[in-house]
Amino acid sequence: MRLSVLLGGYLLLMATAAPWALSRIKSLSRTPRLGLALWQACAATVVGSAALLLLVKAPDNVSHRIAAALELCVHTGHRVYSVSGRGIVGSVALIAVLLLAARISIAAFRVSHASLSRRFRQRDLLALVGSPIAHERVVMIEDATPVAYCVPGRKSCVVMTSGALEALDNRQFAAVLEHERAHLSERHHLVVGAFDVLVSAFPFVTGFRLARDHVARLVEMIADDAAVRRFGTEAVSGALLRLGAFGPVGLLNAGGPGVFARVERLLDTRRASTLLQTSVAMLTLAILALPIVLVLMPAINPAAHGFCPL
Amino acid sequence: MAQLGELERVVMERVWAWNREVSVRDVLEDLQRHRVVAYTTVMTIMHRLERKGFLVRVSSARTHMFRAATTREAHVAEVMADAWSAAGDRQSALMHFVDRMSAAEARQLRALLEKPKRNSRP
Repeated sequence: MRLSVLLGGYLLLMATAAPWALSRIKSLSRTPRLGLALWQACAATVVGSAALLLLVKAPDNVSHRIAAALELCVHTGHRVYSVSGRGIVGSVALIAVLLLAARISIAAFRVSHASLSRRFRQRDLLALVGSPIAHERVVMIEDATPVAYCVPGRKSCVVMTSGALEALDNRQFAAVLEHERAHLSERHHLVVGAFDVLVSAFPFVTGFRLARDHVARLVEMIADDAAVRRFGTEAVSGALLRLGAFGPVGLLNAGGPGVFARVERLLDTRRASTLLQTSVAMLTLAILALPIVLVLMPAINPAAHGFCPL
Repeated sequence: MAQLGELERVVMERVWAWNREVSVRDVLEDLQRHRVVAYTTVMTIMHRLERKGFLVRVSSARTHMFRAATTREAHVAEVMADAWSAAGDRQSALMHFVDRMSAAEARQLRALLEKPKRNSRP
């Protein structure tokens, strides 16, 4: 009984308070890769805890197996890992786990289908009216407005308008290319896509939306860093300013921090301290480990070992 | 495979240039002036282009006639419109270098760019 309360509490915490807290940690932008791992751990632990919470209410035969696997006395296993005597609750819990899995799977299909059809359309159009420039997989589109993006996937490519080519100098152009290539080589579309799936599967969990927005930002920072490593801060911030200033105008940016935040970040030369990096890494591991530790604690408790109160 | 893509471009360029209904044979004869290509190849290509929505089949008593679905410019515009609708949906289908700015933000950025550089160290 206590286990489910602990797990449930942890689940609520990680789904609501934790995302809010993480979004306040500004220094994550100094170590975007670790920051990304932290957000991913947070989301994974929410899903994992939900599944574990349901599984510990498993019906008799499942709890038998869990107890056997942990070499506990069957009775102790029963007490901790199942709702005693209530087979129906146990079965409902099992069904709930399956529903959880189904919901995620359906959302995954929906998101990837929408994504893929968009990408295929882009590729067809680009193959028809785009002009490959220079060497590998860079396509130009005749349009005065400076725009740059990449089409991820198997036949990935980077797209730039003729307007972008005019607006950027050689170094800035190369920096943008490097930024987009970083997205492609590190499969950022899958990283963000995973969060799209969670948002789609569980739209009532606002923590997932927050996570998705922050992960999208972190991923841009990671790509910016890759471009800075090769072409320097000036080229990248120059490109950001020019494409932002002369690019297409849209509705008021609801969540995006936009160009200013990214340029400010690049100009901030403070390094991520070892302390910061270690803390983030430890926090990530702790978040992932905690629900597992909670579940295994009765097993760790020495009094339960080999002692069957018959 | 890349050759097939190249041929698709060539066929569409011809159809756009002619700006009328064309048959497979029309296109085939034109292509054969510069390259070796079979009727079935051209037919496959034109059916593919139809499937992709770039050509429209025109019902005709005699042979299959096709015409361009729309102009080249319209397709170029479609690329851009499509690229931004993906971003608007908060979908990660494409990854833009920068998001669309609001008019105010764009103005501020332009002001920043016009400011002369204070420290012009190399």
